[in-house]
Amino acid sequence: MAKWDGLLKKKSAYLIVGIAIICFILGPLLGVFLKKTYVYQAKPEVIQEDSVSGITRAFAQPVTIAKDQKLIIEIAEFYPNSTVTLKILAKSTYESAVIANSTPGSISGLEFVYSVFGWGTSPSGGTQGATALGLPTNGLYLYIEFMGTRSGDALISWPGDYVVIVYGYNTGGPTDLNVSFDISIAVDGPGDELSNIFILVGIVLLIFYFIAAVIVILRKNYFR
Amino acid sequence: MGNERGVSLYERLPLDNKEKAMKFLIYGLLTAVIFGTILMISKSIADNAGTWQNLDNQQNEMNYMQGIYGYNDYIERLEKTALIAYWMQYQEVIVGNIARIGVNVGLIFIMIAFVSFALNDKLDERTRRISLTLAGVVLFVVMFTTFFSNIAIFVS
Repeated sequence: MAKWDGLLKKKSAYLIVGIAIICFILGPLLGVFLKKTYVYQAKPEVIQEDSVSGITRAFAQPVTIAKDQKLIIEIAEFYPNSTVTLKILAKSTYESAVIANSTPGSISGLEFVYSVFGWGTSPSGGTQGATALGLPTNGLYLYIEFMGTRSGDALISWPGDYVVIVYGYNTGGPTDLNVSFDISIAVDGPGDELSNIFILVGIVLLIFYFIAAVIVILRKNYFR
Repeated sequence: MGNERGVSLYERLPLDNKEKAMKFLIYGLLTAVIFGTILMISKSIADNAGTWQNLDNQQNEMNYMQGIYGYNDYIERLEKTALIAYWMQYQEVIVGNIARIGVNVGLIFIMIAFVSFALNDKLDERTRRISLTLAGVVLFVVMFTTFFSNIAIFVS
């Protein structure tokens, strides 16, 4: 019992309660900062006009997603004369298309959803499904979520390897070949899990300390 | 502690020791109050789970509207919020039962203290009678809270 008595010392109390408080603060912070893991970011990303006619010239970013992991793409197009299209392909489909150097427009993309935000917008009403999105046709900024496929607005997880492709053309003069756009590609990070673990550790520490302290006090005062 | 080994629990009771009985009374009271407070906090958390859920759902919807995350993150948080709300309600069962044991232990120590006062022939007759009555009342409460979930009086 003597070793348990040390738990009631000021130093031990500060240490245990301090660690618990740190866990309570760190948990939500890690949750926010590690919610997404960025795979690729470019502002601007520049491709060439010939990306429309051959997939080997298109922007391609391979991504691997685990079960229940989400791919989040934010794409914006605010550059003169640029028109781009985004698709998400299975890695196998992409590799076959690269061998044949197919035109990206002829390849069917996988199902994803994109959201339109705004005050008063209902979350289900502001979300739509698509297999390909064109900018600026469908909007100048798009927030895309992908897990493999979808049922309505809800995503269905198909863990595996995928490739995000973007191709486009320049509507300017014949010498304007650059096609520019902003893109960020991220996957769900470990933030939520870490947040839960830290908060759980904090709670368990406090409960353990409280129970230990009650036992020590009871034994010291009643049965001595 | 070493010389107390082999001493029965009964022999440790403060039957003829006023100071020790007073210690039992104070710490029993403290134990009962602490566990009672925990019980009430737990109940309050459970009762307000719905209010917290509404608050978090509103924050979730506003986060979506601001574009902090998309529809599927919104749905995920809705589900997680519902799970936490259910846990907030269910923890009352776990914490409540532990706290009930704590309160009863505290009350038993209070009862022992009063019985000790009642059995102590160094105290005056009146104090001993009052102590015995109080011990009876505490025992009555312990018995009722042990065998029945709550006590209610209806006046019609």
